[in-house]
Amino acid sequence: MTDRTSSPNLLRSWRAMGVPVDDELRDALSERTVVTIAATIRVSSANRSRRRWTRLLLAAAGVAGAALAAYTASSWRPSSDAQPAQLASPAPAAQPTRAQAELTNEPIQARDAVGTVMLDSGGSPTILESGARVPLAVGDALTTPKDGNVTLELAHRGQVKVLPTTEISLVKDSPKEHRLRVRAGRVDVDVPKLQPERRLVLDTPDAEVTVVGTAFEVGVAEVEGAEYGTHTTVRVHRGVVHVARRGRAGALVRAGESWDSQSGASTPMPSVKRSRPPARSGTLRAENALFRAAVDARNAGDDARAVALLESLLQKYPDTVLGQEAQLELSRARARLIGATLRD
Amino acid sequence: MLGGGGSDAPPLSDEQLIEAVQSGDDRVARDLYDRLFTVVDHTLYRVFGRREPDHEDLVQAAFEQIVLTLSRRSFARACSLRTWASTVTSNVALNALRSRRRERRVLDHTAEVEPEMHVSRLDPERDADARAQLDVLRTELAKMSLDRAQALFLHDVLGHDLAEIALITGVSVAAAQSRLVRGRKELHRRVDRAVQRGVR
Repeated sequence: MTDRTSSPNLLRSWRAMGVPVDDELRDALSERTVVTIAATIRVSSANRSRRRWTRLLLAAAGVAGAALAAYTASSWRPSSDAQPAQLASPAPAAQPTRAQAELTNEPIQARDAVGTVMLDSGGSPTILESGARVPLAVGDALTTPKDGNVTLELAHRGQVKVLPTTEISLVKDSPKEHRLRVRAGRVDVDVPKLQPERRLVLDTPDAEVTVVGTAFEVGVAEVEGAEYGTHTTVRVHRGVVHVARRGRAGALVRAGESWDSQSGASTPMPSVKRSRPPARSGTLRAENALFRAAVDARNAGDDARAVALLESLLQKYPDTVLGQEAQLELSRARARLIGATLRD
Repeated sequence: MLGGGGSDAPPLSDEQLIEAVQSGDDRVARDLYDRLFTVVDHTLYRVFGRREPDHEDLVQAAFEQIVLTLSRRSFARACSLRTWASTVTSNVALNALRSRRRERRVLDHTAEVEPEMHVSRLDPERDADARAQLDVLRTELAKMSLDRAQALFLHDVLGHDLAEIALITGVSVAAAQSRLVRGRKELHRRVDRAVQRGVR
């Protein structure tokens, strides 16, 4: 830069900069963007009503729990030979066993959507809102974009990470079996060891992968000329997986082995280290704590404290990954404060 | 019936559009696009100085954020819908600029894309110099805190007044002014330092 301009002048020339009109772009983007806008309107409206229902259900559950506790307390009579110490401490609530927990029919939930993840529910596509948890129904299909992903949380605390450019749908969701169909793309599965009466099955066009309690990846690539038009690969990192080519006998694939539907044989995986997520910043815990405290303050109706905490978060950690959410919450809390001040 | 973009129907007011979005009426999607495309497109262009290769994705992201903020009732209706859209879009764009800075991709982008801006068509050397200086300004703006960067961009580049910025960002006029003044000082300091590094 030879003839250096001062920054006020630069700002002036930035302001004076002309913006060329591009009507072709406007038309070219029209269809895609209108669809996105419509989907966003639908999904945010659905999420809002879902949140409203969740709050109502939680409130109802709280009232029912309080009523039950009151009833139990009023109908309980100590036996005559009970020791005073025993009278003072109520019996601990019975905890469900893991098997019982696994057999409850909690729906699979989609969460932590990154990018424009489409949910097709009954022929009505919507975009999953990041941060939302959406229960999936049988028939629901998810499609991840090339730069996005989403996590499916299973009732038994396992999870299926749906990686970029993947199409997956929920085929069956019963207390005994979750069945997902991966039409194309790649998923990363991590589930605890399952009870024998509970199964997680991944269907691909040319194979069926049954989970026994493990961590593994399934990749489905479209291959021209293949019997079912696809080629499925399975790489097992932990535990054991049962795999079967469509219409053929199955085989077990163990940790450290990979399998592909073309040959039907399992082979040891080359000793390549699994890619690990990038190391987290040492401040992430503190950032989360500040954000969580701000949300708690907001929920408690203390907007002034929420504002102070969010400002502190953004000031201390200007590059925080929570920046956008924090900024949004901050604006909302401030707007509420201003509203309250004006009302007063 | 709302929206639909029918030729006979009078255009929806901002108020009607917002009500429709908040009630989940997706028929107004086309009206919203037609009403706000220009402001979204121009704001993105102003932030980046060109239409970037991912301009389409940024337009989509901006519209998603606009709808989400309207739907969550974050928009306090203290300004026009267009002003709100330009603010949300500048937020999306500044965040994109910041994440690119983190990925060390800003320079790559400027190298890849032929800029559309022409300060003076008569002097290519001067043009290149002006573009380079504006790129330095953008890069340094992206390094600042979002509050200051946004106040500065909204005021000095998009031309919003302080009262409007205060309403949009939910702070007092004094706080908005403080951000602007501090932002300008910081930006000038940063640009000077960056230019000195470049000259050496």
